[in-house]
Amino acid sequence: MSDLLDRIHRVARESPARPALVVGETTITYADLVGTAARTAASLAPGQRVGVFAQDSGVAHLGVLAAMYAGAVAVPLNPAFPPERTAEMLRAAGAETVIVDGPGEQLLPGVPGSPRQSLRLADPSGGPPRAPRAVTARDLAYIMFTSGSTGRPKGVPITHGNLAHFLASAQQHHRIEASDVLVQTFDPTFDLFMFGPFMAWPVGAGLAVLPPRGLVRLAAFVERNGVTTWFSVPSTIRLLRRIGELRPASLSTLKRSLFCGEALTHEDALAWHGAAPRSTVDNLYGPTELTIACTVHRWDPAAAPEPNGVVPIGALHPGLDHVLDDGELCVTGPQTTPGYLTAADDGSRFLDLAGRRFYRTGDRVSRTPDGGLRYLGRIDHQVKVRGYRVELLEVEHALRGIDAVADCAVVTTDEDGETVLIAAYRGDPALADRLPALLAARLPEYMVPQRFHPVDELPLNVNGKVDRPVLAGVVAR
Amino acid sequence: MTWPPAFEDLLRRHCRFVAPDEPIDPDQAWPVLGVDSFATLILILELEETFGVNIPDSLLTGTQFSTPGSMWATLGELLADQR
Repeated sequence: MSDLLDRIHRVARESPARPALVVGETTITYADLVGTAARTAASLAPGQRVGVFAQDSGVAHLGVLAAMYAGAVAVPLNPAFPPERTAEMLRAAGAETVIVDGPGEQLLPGVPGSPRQSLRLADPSGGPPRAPRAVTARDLAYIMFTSGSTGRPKGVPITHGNLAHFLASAQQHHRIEASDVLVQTFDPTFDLFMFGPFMAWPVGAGLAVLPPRGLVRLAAFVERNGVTTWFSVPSTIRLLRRIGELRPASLSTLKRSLFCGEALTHEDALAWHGAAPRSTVDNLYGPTELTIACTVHRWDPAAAPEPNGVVPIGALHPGLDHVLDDGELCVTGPQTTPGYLTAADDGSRFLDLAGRRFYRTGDRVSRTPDGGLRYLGRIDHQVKVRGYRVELLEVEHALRGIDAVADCAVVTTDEDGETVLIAAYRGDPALADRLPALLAARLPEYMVPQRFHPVDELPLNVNGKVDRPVLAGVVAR
Repeated sequence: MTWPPAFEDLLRRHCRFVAPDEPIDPDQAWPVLGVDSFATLILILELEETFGVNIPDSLLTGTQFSTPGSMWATLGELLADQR
């Protein structure tokens, strides 16, 4: 089954001059998209794990496609991550070849570990591109890394079967057409990145990458590119409201708006709808382990909001099944990852029930009267920072790894609707100024707490564990 | 690279990975300095307000604003044009 890539290949053959990808001032046609992917793929082997390490979002998109064209496994990376973290991701994935752009090529030798082969994208011109290599449903398409509570990032492999099921369900709901233009707002290390290219390209639609700082002039970007389909984290709405860029009917080309990655409030949905009055608003939900998203809810502006003000996450995609284990959502079906890259990570995250394997999401949900689901909160210490998954235990693990920190705990607080990480630590108070940089050498930017509080003692609860609610009160502004 | 204290103050508030007694590397990318994509937007709005400039759309999303150094160089040109 290489249906996905075959369809992209066919679009390129039938409509070679159609725009496939717009990055800044550059428009990449389907002929160039497929030509580049197919010719780059010639240097890769099926099943091989291939890092994609590029500052340029265009190269990141083409690199992922090239890996899949070869029947290889894309491992998206981010050059802004600390080199040690990139090294850990490459090591865990077993990736020795890395597709790079210019900056990526310069930075790669600074990533510790065994030497790696860096590969630049091939020139798209030449004869007709070779067809994509056939793959089976069980072959891996990509590996994403998420925050791990053990202190290491967890590798989540996603198969072509997982991806195909997601794409078919999403297409049934969203009905993307060749005339559509989707937006890319996600970093390649965020699995929602995969939505744009693989929803757009099989049907011949365009994908426009929101440039860095593009939100400041969002209306102009949407208008210029004729964007019809928006997809971002809900935090984007709050930021746009804050900077006054969500003006009434300013996003009038939008037909569909999708949000995922964290709770969408009714208030934010209303604000978005005011700017994009012709657009539907869909709330999606799904951890990386369940492939991009596994539920969808069509928000109704006229409906009364839920008592907690949060838009429901809706019903599971067809073909998926769930149980509630003490309120925790557990999901099985064709979108579930075959298991973490490191088998030791699987332990508590999967539930075997009547011969079926359920992924434990860690999310508390309840059922709505119409058969959908509503999100209530987490059962553990995982939080979302602008949609990024953060295990507080991983941040604490990294912080404890700094010599002068005797002990620590990380808690969250809500500031202007955003989740903010705050660290309390036992150690030299003068260290507070140094800790952000020390931690930034170990963790991605979004995992580094906003503030560091020296404390004499960490408050404990009756079980002898850190009392997070009490601590949150102590360190709150 | 030297820039006025008003610019330095603005940067300091956002470059959370730079300790108070350390210089800000003018050629370093924003994420490495601890300025995420959302914070860069707030920084740009503060720049416009503090320096009373209107930054043209075309400058915002290019390389002209990708580091503190290039940001100051671009801002300096805009300020010179205004005079």
